[in-house]
Formats: sequence, structure tokens, C-alpha cells
Amino acid sequence: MSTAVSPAERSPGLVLSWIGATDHKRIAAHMAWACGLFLVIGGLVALTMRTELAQPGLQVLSRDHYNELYSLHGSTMIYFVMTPAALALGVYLVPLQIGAADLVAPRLNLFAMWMLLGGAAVAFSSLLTASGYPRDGWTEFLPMSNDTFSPGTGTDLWLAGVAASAISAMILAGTILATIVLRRAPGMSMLRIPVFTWTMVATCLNVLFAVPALLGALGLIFVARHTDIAVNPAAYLNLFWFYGHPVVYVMFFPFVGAALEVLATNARRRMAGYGPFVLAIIGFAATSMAVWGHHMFATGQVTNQYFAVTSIALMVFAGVEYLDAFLTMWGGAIVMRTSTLFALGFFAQFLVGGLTGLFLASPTLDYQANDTYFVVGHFHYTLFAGSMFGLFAGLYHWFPKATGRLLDERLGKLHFWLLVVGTNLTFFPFFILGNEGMVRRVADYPDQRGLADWNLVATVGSYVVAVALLVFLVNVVWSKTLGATAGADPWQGQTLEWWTASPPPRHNFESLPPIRSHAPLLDLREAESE
Amino acid sequence: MTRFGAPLFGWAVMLALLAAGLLAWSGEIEGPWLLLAASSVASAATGFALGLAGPAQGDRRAIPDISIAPAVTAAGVLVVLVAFAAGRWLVLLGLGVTALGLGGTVRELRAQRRELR
Amino acid sequence: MNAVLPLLAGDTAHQYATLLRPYALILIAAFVVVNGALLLAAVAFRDRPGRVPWPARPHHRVTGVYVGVLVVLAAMLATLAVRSEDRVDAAATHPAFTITVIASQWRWTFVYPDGRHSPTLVAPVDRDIRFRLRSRDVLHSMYIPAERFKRYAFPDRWNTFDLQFGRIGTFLGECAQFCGWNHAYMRFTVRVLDDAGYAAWSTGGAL
Repeated sequence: MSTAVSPAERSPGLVLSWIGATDHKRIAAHMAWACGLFLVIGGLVALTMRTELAQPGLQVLSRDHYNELYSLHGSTMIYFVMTPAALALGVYLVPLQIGAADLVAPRLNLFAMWMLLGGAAVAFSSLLTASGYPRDGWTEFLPMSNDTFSPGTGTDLWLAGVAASAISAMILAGTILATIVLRRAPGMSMLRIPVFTWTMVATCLNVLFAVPALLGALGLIFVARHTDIAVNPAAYLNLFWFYGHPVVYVMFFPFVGAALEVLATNARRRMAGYGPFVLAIIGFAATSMAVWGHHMFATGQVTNQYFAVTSIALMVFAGVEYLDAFLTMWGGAIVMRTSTLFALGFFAQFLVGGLTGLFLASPTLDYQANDTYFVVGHFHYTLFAGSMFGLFAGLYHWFPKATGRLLDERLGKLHFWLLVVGTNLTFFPFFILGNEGMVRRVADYPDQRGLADWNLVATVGSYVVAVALLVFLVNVVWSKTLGATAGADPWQGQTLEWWTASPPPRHNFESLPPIRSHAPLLDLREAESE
Repeated sequence: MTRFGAPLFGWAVMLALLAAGLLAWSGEIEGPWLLLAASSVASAATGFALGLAGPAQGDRRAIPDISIAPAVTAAGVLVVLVAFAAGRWLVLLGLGVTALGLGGTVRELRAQRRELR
Repeated sequence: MNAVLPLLAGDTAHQYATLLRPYALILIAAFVVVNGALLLAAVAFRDRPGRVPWPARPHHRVTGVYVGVLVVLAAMLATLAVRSEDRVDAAATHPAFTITVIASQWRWTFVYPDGRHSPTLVAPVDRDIRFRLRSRDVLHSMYIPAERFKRYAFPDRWNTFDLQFGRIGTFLGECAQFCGWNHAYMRFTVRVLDDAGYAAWSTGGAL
């Protein structure tokens, strides 16, 4: 282990410390607060959209404003909330889980954080321009996004902001991966790193090999807007979706890792099927790079059958993860904490998203469902009712480690149940709406009873979601200062982060236990009880 | 080659197999195949690079606490990116600020190395 | 506009319904089995005073069997999907005629073999009709929910496909790819007529 020396006691001012802190824990915390703010912005936008869609006709928004808002919602949630949140979880946990003092290249990580925050500010600033926020969704297909159909500086600012967030993601993925390779504590072979760290390996690989395609796609829009070169729309689609599919697994892998660690810890048992899980997650990540064509089934420009087969193949890898969750619980003694509930909710609800994904993997069925509310329901189940539940499981689990205080359990359970009701009430009707032919990215829909009724239900559900998130915000703010003290290991954890103090010192560890498996603290406890 | 180089090569092999599958199924050298093949080449290269790097064991390493240089560098890069929307002349300003930030980083790294000696 | 959305309005819709049955069965069964198992485990192994978790042991056989089942299921679903796609995307051997569809911001124009331009898609029932679809500006997508079918319209190339309308009536058509300000209202009507009605229309009659 490298010897870490604490810095001299010349404490910088608060502002300087806030701008310049290179501690991976501080970087992750700042990213988390930023993502939280962006989540609130993206969520308020969604509430406005749902309020408009509650009834047919245009009551609240003009067509133009609705189009700005739906684009703002998607871009914010993907580029500025879920992708950075996934990476931030890794930025915080990976060094702690592998026994390292910090990530590789701390200054580079701080640069990446500022690129994210600055990029978000730049992208949001397009709202203030005369042309407004670009209206072509987070996908910004050409030719719609070129200067003929989207004139003005709004789109250019959006391009700059999203490019900055992409650079940020690539840097963090690179340093996290390098840290896992180069900074593991003695005794920690690759097959002894915790499950969450393995999911970060998969996440980082997907970011490193997919995000360059996003930069390429953004570059194509730039070329179309600022030169005379004619850009092939199908080429843009291929390049964008080559990024656009792996990124959804970036927004999934860390959260399945978090959910599995939560389940194992709270079931008070070693995780089942570690070996198969490692094979599955790497296979999942690799195969996920070869499925992007399923977003383009209805274009007639890709080999539909190849992409149908690879997309369906993903179910084998996902299934192994579900089996491991089941086998870990089977024979455990499961403590039903808020984190456990969210982990279970993650698996149960993500399954809806996953199965509807299998549905969409078949071109025949996709020709109906693509670009309708069916697919909107699909990805909200995977990303919100799924991944975000996994994120909450991780937050309730690791908040005490980061802050030294426990989140309130009663507020936590209220948050959970409200969110279960809210997400299902909002997103299940989307499948029905899509089946009835309601297309997506529309401010209004045909005035038919079926469509209006289910839209109203979904809007009610979205307000329940808002209340649930408010409860969580209250919990965080209250618990951060007034919550019960956590101590180093409130949950009887199994991995190295629970060995050190809560919150950990700057250099993370004063000492390390012997490492002989992926659950060193569990090994110690079992040895002691013999 | 470190033990980690091997898994990354495994990733490259998987991507190459998927690319071969697409080529076989579609029968043409088309965009998708090129994309897949490129990413598999890239990952093989990464694996090779990581293999060369090797794990650094038992170094004495300094970790910085506060560094303003990254924020400055980021500000410079963002100004360059925004220049295409807000005025091309901003590229010069942005590059200048970026240079400032990078210079600051180099100074800090040198001081850090001196500290360790 | 008050259009009816019957499920089986043509060949593509028929293929959709045919595939949906086994597919939905497998997916719903998977949901019930997997979530049921997780719920069972969560309830059966709740922490109770004095409960000791079982020691860990490898699950090679269970994992192997389970992966085997998943591979078989995936192969089944993939085969169903591929076979169905062959049928849906098959080119008709003798299409009755070709309709050229021009999508533009924000309307649809259907051009018939005699040169007639129509904002409404008028078609004879039970005939294979070839469509050649293109855009005049940005990407659009021609979507007929009753046919369970959509296809993108590109500005730089033609997309060709065949449809058959199996039921007489009036159906909704929409644009399914965001195309700007009026995307939400870029709809069209599909009027499917019997042979006599279509003959009357195509010789200059009104609908």
C-alpha cells in the first residue's frame, strides 16, 4: 500500500476548498449535489409536461415550449443526471472498496467535475437565447438539428455543453478503470474486487468505447451547422446510437452492483454466484455494444435480424444477475431496511423494463411500438423505476459512510412506497397509450377517451413521484445535520469501505485488514466467531 | 502483460466476434461493421498499453488536497467550446485560459515530485 | 378526429398479432416466475430473532441449468422474431400499384400512379400496395397504428415497403418521428374502400 501523508495544517478558505478539492470523496459529493439539482430541474420540467398532457388540447404550453421542454427533460436526465450519477458513485466508492488512498490523477478528476458542471450551465444557458433550447430531443437527429431547421445559437450552446459532459465522462471512466487496475490493495486480485467495483469496470469500458461516438455525432451536427458539407442522416443515426445504446447500460450497471451489495449485506450473507456474475457483467457490456441497430429497426437502414438476435441475447446475461440476487436472498436473514426495499424494488421493476425491452427487440413488434409511448414506458421503467431505485438503495446504504449519519428509516420507507405507487401509476399507462397508437414527443394527442383517461392517470402518478422525491430531499437535508450517528460499520458490511471511519479521512485508510476474498470484513467476522 | 491486460483482450475478442457476426449476416462492409471493428481494435490497443504500464507497487505517492488549476483549465476549455456559439474570437481567450490552467498543473506536479524526493 | 383503432387491419397487423401471442405469453410468464421467486425469497428469509444465514456454497448446477433454460428461451424468441420479420418485410410478388409518399413539414402527400396528389391515403381493401416513402426536409415517420407499422422517411433516399389493408374503414395515420413545431398535428387519414369504391375514387370521384 502506498504510504499516505496528511497535508500540512494550512486550511484554505471555504470557497477555495470548494473549487479546488481534489479528494475523490469531495468530487463525488459535489457531483452528487449537482446531479440532485439537475434532477429537480428535469423533474419540474416533466411535471410541466405531464400537466399539459393530462388533457387533450393545449392548455399550459405552446407547441414550441413543449418541444423545448421535452428536449430539456431528456437531455438533462441522461447527460446531466443519470450518467454522471453512475460515475459519481464509482468516483466515491471505488478507491474505498479496493483499499486505495484516492483515484489515479486527482487533478484530472477535478477537471472532469468542472467540465460536467460547466457543461450543464452552458447547455442550460441555451434557454436564455433567442432561439431557445434545441427542440429535437436528447438525440438531436439531423437534418432537424442543422442550421436550416434549428437556426440560432441555442443548439450550438447545447452542443458545447453536451460535449463537455461527454469529455467529463470519458476522463472519469478512464481514471476509475486505471485505479482499479493499478491501485488495488495487496492481496486484492481482480477476482476479489467487490461486485460494485466489477460493475464499474463494465461501466467504464462502455463509456470509453461508446462516448467517442457521441463526440463524433455532435461533431457531425457541428459540421452540418457551420459548413457546406452535406451530412448523411443515416450516418448520424448509426453514430449516435452506437453511443446511445451502451450509455443506457452505463446508467444501469453501477446500480445493479449497488443493489446486489445491499442485498448481500442486508441478507447477512456472502453474495451468491460471484464468478458467474463477473462473466455475465463483462459479457453483458461487450454484447451491449452490438445491439444499437434496434433503435433503427423502423429506418430500414440496418440489418434488423442481426440486431434482433444480439438484443435478445442480452436476456441471458441479465438473467444471471437476477439468479444471483435470488440465490443470495435464499438462505439469508434479510433485514428489511429502506435500502433493502429499494434493492428489491429495483429488481422487480427493472424486470418490467427488461421484458418490454425484449418485446422491442423483435422488429415486427417494434414497428408498432417504436416512437410511441410504449417505448417511453419501457425506458422509464428501466431508468427510473429500475436504475434510480438501485441508486436510492445505494444512497441509503452508503450515505452513512459518506456523512457519518444515518438517513431516517421512517422517511425512507415513506419515500419508497410513495415512489413505488408514483412510478407505476405514471409509467404503466404509457404501455397502454403506446398500444393505442399515441406517438412520443407530442404536445397533444387525438381526442379519444382511452388516450385522455390514461394520460390523466399518468399525470396524477407524476405528482405522487414529486412528493416522494420531496420526502427524500427532506430526509437528506435533515439527516445530514440531525441524523443518528452511524459509526464505521452500521450495517455489518462486507467490503473494505466499512473498515474505515465514517466519513473516511482524506487518505481513506489508516490500516487494512487481510484480503482473501471479495468480502474481507465478512471473512474476519466469520473467523472471529469460530 | 499484467493480469488485467488479459480481460481487456477478452473484451476485444468479444467485440471482434460480434463484428464478424454482423459482417457475415449483412454481407457488406457497411457503417455498423466498421464501428464495431474499430472499437475492438481500440480495446486491443488499450489492453496492450495497460500491459506495458504494469502495476506500480510500493511507491511513495503524494495526493494533492487543493488545486485550482483544474477549474481554470475547465473554464478555458468551456470557453473554447462555447466560442462556436458566442463568437469565434473567444477561442483565443479560451485557449489562453486553458494554457494558464495547464501551466498551473505542471507547476503543481513539479512541486509534488520535488516534495517526494 | 375520431378514428377507430382495430387491431387487425392488414397483413402487418396480422403478423404483429400472430407474434404477440407466444411472445407475450413468455414475457408475462417470466415476470410472474422471476418476481414471484424474488418475493418468495424476501418473505421466506426475513430476518427473525435467532435466524442464522446459511453458509455460502457454490451453485454450479443451478446456474448451469438456469443459463441453459435462458439460452433456449432466447433462441426461441430470436427464431420467432427473425421468422416474423421475414414475413413482415417480405416484398410482395405482384403489388397492385405503387403509391409515392412525400412527407414534409407538416403534411403528407400521397402520389398515385396517374399523378393524382392526395392528402388522404385512399386504398383498396385486400390488395398488396407498394409504398415509396421519402421526405422533403427532415426525418419523418409514417405510422399507421391499425397496421401496426411505421417506417422512417429520409430526405436523401427512398424507403420501399408493401402493405395490405384487410378491413374497410377509416383509420388514423400519424408522424412518429419528431419533425419540428407541428409534429404533434402531422396526422393523416387512411380510407380503405372496396374495389368499386376505390375504382370510383381513382377515376376522379370524391370520397
